[in-house]
Amino acid sequence: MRTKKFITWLGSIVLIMVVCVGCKDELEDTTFFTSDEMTIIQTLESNPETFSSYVEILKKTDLYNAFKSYGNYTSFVPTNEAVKAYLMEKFNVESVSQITSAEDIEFLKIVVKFQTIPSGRGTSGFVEGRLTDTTFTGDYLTTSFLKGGGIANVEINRTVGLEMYDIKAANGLIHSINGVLDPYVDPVPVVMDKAGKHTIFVEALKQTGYYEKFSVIFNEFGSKNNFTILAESDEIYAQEGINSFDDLVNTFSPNDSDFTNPQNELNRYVAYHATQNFLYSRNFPEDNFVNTVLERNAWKSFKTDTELKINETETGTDDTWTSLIIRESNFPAKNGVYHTVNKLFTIFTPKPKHIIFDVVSDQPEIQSRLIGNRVNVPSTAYEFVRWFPEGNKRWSGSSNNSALNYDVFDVSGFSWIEFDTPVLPKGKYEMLICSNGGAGSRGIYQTYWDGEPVGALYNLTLNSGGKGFPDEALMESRGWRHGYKCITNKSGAAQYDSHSWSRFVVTKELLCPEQKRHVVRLEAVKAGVMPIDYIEWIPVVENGPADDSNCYND
Amino acid sequence: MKRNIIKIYAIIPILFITLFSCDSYLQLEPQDSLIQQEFWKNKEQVSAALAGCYASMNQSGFTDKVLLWGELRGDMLVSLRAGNNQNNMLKNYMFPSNSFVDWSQFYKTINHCNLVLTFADQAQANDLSFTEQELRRIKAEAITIRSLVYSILVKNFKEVPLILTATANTDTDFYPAKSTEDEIIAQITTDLEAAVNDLNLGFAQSPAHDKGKMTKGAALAILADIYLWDEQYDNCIDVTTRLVNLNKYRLVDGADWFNDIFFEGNSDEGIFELQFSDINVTLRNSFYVGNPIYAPYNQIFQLYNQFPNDVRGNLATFGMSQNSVFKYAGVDASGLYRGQNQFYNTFIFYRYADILLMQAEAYILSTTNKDLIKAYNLINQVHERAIGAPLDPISTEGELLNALLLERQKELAFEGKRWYDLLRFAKRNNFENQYLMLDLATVKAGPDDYEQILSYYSEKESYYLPIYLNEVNLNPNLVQNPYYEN
Repeated sequence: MRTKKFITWLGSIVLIMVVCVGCKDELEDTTFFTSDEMTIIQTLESNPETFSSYVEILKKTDLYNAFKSYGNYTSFVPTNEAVKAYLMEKFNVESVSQITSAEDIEFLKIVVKFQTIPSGRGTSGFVEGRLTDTTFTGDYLTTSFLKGGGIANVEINRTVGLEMYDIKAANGLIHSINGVLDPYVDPVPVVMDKAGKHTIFVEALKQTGYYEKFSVIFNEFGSKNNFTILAESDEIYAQEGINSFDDLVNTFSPNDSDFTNPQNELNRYVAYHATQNFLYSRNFPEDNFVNTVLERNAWKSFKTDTELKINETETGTDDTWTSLIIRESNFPAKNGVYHTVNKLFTIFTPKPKHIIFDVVSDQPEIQSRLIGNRVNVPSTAYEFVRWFPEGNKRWSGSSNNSALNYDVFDVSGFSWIEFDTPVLPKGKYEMLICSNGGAGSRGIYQTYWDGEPVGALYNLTLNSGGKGFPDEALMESRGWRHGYKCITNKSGAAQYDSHSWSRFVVTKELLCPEQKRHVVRLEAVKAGVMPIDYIEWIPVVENGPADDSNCYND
Repeated sequence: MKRNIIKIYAIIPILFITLFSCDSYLQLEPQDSLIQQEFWKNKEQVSAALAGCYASMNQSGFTDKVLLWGELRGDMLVSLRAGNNQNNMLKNYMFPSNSFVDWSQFYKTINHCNLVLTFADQAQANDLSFTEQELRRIKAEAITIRSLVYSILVKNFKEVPLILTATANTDTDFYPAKSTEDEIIAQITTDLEAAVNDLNLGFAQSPAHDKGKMTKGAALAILADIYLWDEQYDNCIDVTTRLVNLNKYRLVDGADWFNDIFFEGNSDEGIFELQFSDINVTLRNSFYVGNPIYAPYNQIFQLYNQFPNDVRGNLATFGMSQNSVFKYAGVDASGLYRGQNQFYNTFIFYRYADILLMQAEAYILSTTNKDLIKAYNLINQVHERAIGAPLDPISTEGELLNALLLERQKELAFEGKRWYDLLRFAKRNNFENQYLMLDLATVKAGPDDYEQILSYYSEKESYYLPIYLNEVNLNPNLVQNPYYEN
């Protein structure tokens, strides 16, 4: 009996021991990776003969672990020699370890952020101009093929070349470069000044006060300014017989030396050379106006199969336009970019033309990616949009949208919203507006033009029956037209075929007696959602082409 | 004890059964297919293997590249809905991961040929009805096919591995290095010079046999092409003369130009045309008028307007109203097009007009046999056939070369020749005429990418293709072509 109890006891103890020991987690202390590919850091560390200095910088700036993290980065990594040369030039030291001051380390952080893009960009995405995404410092990097020889000779920011490219890592791509990309510090006029090829124009900038204005990097609301400046180089001026600033004054403003006065002709001439958009040469619109800093004026940009034509007259004679000298253009700066024009660039008075205003894509803040997709921001984030009552609103882009550039201003809950229009050349227009409508939750709006009510109520709740869709004549009689056939979503569904994307004819007679920007306000009569896509102005010209739903580029 | 004995008696038969009955289980040779040891026994099998060499060319993986490697980088085609790889090639934006530069299909054909060359002898020894003469003819055909493939490779890659033995067992060198351009060209020319003697003049069964198989004429045409590429002009004159003296080929009449050569195929002018028992998928996919991938670059229309009576113009080479490559997609001058299931085109590698123009080029450029009058007459033969009137007299070498290049462009449009013509002209005298390449950028560029495309065309080494990345990864001895190393 005793032995039986003893056996039970012994058995239980053994069982407990087995359980205790057996519970040990075999996998304890093992780390699992979702991928056995090397991260950017591992790739760099396995090639110390090329990349050890940059890894040192990453450690020094505490950004080392960031490149181990999940993501899809593009990392431009300078070689050891490149880092050495850069340190010598900037800090006059031999190696990374000699950098100790907090200020210098802070600068190195900016350097690293400037070499890094938060999304993967292989060389197949390189173009003549800027890359699509900004670096972690918020700047665009440029790539240039001007040296010839294809990918192997591409220059980043017109300064450094590629050593190795498209090295794949688990969390991104590495391009090895033969120099350190120097972060943009200077604004556009200072960069031009330092380059020294536009001395007369820079002098004009200084004399007219625009040197300071274009040097402001952040505006009063804290968002970044962008300037694109078209300038004549000294060489181009020389071709026109202008060899000094005095010659320029004699050409434009011989009798008035009050150059800072906005009415002064030289001041106007200089103001006309800049726009608050961020335009590398390939970002100039296909066929549209670009508003200039000179109020009520614009550049007319038109691209043919082979050429960018700025301010082409409509006389039919050849060579009346201005173009960019590509070799001397696309120079980036902290707050924009400058280009060199190929002839004297004077103020141009355009004729009325069909203007389509994408209320989203045409906003400079969205072009420079300060305001991202579906991010709610206050109206103060925009320079040219306002709404009431205050509250954060968003734009939304989706390739499922049959919207122009796939994006809409996706707003609701406002009593009014207003947009500054692009500069409209003087003339008589039809004004149309397009939103994604046709549902009960949408609103009804009254349109105001420069403060005056104009046209009938814009009723977005109407369904196809209410609009008379798809009968064109019936729609016209009710103030509606089909959307465009050429505006489609990424799967090809056209606005034309959907009643919800029909265009509303606000008015058929809108008179613009002078060339300037206007204000379009939409006031809610019934509140509701309004995914607004674009507003357009079609010139009313005798014997001119009628509005054609095929495409807006006629 | 007794029981044990019974057990033993029981075990012995079982052992026997197990040991002897397993015979067929241990047989490792496949039951449902032929193996090498059983093949290569007789003439019929060798002929079948030779047919396999032809058949390996007879598919879109092969002909797509023959056509498009010769056209895309040139100035004759634009893309309507080409894939990424082809679109990049249109801009000469090439990199090693572009799978359209994969040469494996070409090496498959080379291996088919090498197999015939290696094993045909043992079959002949085994088969009494297999004559020495037939053996030599079959081997010469295989050599000619292999030479054709190497001539395409050398024009595109400049340096490729030269593989002359069959990959039939594990003793083969699986990691061949590249041979130089000179070595490859020397191999092609020696092989072909020898093969010409053994090849048939023709095949009587049908025009399809006659044009679709390697003959003396075909070997001479490949030779002429490679001699011209390698600037051996006297040799080019020699082989083209021998080809002309075969008295087998002639230019078809101008009036029959489209119908005989392209619509019906296998014309008197054809020298080597790949035959398809089914649809010619490459030409159908690329040019079917209902849904073409490529269209002619519209500026070339004007070239043909220079002479209003050019039989090669609208509704012959191209269709203006449909913007189509009529040469392959069309039916007749009424503007009728082939349906999707009517692409029974042959695939023309060489035809007589090409040979005459090659000879003309050699006469212009040869130092010892230079004869500008002969050259003019040759160009004029092709020209007058198409126009009905002679070419204006030309006397200088430069003008003759220009006229020749233009005549080639018009006569051989979309036949996979243009890029090689431009490159051959451009690379002479250390790229004296590199402008021919740089000018392509104007053809290809839009308002935003001129500099970019110009850049792709500016490096001399970029005129040759990169070796496909997989090949370089698999073969440690294979060095990527210069310019594409990264």
